Amino acid sequence: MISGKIRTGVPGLDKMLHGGLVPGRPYILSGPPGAGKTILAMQFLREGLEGGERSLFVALEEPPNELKINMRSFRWNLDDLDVLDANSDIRRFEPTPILEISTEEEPAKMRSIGERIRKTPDFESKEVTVHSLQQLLKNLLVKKHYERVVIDSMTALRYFCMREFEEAVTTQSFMRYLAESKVTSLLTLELPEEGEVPPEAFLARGEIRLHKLRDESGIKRFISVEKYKGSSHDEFVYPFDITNAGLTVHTTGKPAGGT
Amino acid sequence: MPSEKKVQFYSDGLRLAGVLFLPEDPGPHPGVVLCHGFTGIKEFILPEYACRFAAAGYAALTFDYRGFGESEGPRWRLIPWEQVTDIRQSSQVRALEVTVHSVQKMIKQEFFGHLERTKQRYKRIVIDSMTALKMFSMQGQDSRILIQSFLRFLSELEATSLIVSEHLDRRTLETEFFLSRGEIRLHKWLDGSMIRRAVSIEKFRGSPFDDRMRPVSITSKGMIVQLEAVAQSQAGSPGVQPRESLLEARIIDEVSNLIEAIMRGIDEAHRLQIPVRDIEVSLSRAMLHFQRRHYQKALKVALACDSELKQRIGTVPPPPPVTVPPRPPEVMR
Repeated sequence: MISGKIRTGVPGLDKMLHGGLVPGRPYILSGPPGAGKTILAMQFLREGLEGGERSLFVALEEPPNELKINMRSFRWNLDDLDVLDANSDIRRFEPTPILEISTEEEPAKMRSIGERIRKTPDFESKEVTVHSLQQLLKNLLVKKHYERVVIDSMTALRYFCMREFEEAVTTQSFMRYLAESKVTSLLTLELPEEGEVPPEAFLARGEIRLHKLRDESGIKRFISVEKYKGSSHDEFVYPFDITNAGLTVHTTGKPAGGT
Repeated sequence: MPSEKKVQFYSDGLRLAGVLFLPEDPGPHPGVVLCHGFTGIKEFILPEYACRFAAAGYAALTFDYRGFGESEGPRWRLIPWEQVTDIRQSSQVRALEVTVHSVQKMIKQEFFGHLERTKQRYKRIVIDSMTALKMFSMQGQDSRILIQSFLRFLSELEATSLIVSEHLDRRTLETEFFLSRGEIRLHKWLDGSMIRRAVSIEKFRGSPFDDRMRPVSITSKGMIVQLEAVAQSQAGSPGVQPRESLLEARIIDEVSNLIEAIMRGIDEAHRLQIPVRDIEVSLSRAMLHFQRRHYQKALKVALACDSELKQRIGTVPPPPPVTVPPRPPEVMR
């Protein structure tokens, strides 16, 4: 086993990972909409912040103002978290200048994010492409030495920031870039309710998967470690809860449905 | 005979009335906008021309400027520049073709027109439905980006919007489902000869919620959710389908890997000239179960095959041959 793992900050998950994550590598956090990916990712960053690590959240699905409000109920101190708003503006249909997200753009500290949504300016509209985002991250990582980065989500990056014909190659190169950048990154990935796992899962060094199942008694949530290169890990699927303390994995009971 | 259709469009928040004359063939057609003169209205002189245009293969639009005829706007007022705006806005009527762009433009004009007229913002917006908008108005490559942009547009209006959408294929990931801040799902299934309805909340960012599926009835007062009751979903109902989950996919993987391993073992046995005819028969039984989706049975038979085969080939079978993949209780039938 590789020593010097870093903790995810999710009670129970570190035990499943036999100590935590091997630092400096990209990991996939997958699950269907509403499974709890963003909350888990935020818990991962908070754990970093508490240990004095510089942490960055790249928001591609949710405007940062809403993220801030949504995380308030957990009472986590996220003031020093850097949040990069990578949500594209409303697209223009008229031929007005499109501004590719500037590679000089700075992330905002969570404490300084306002209550209201950023409005698309009248005469220019910001568009995030995977290339500009990658360049921006490159600059930021040099300047700020982040230790933990969350990309929320890879699905949004693939859907909204790439041309369809370049998806496979570009995704691969983006993940490769993250691997080379030596930062521990957690990339969220939306899973369809049925069917195949998107290809990003194969490219990462590990995959933590959230499962959401519905029966008469409500939604049941489970978590499993699907893959973890360079480390042993727990093979079972365990139930977890989301409370106002975030995610808690119950590894003490028997694994879900295990026989 | 060209057909005539009443249409309307918005200019600076005012609803303008028009008539669209369309040729008989399905199109697409080039368009002509016919404008009336001072003191005129769209019913005066213009229809004659419009009919001729339509007969010649053009989509022809006549309309009333703001303040005239059937259109809204202050009467007794004529500002040429405003009429130019009206003419420009008439391009919203693209032979009744609705695009995301035109819908967005209409919402925007109505939203800000309403704000200007009443000093109040619309607080609630319903899009009924996203499925129709996607199917008819944004075919082609960029539909995901168009949906993202449209949802961003709704977010920036800062109204609470409800987007009606049908999840047609569970295997695909629809943009609006993961970009939305929450999902309320309506279920409907046949229970004997009764139609049952239920509602569940699947996702709600930033808030805890009741995660049970609750029965719903549609009455003369609208929809009523029975909070005390829990929907008894029947097999095959939409509420049950999610159980065919990724966890079940794990069992499928497990069984198919096992079957492949056994087949390799059988080849090996043939090479060593060990008789394995009976194992081949059991394996085909396992494959039959697998095909019929009786994964539990398939796994059981395959496991037996595997240990028997290993014994014969002479490798020591490990005490519990293969770990049974964990699964939630639901999958057990």
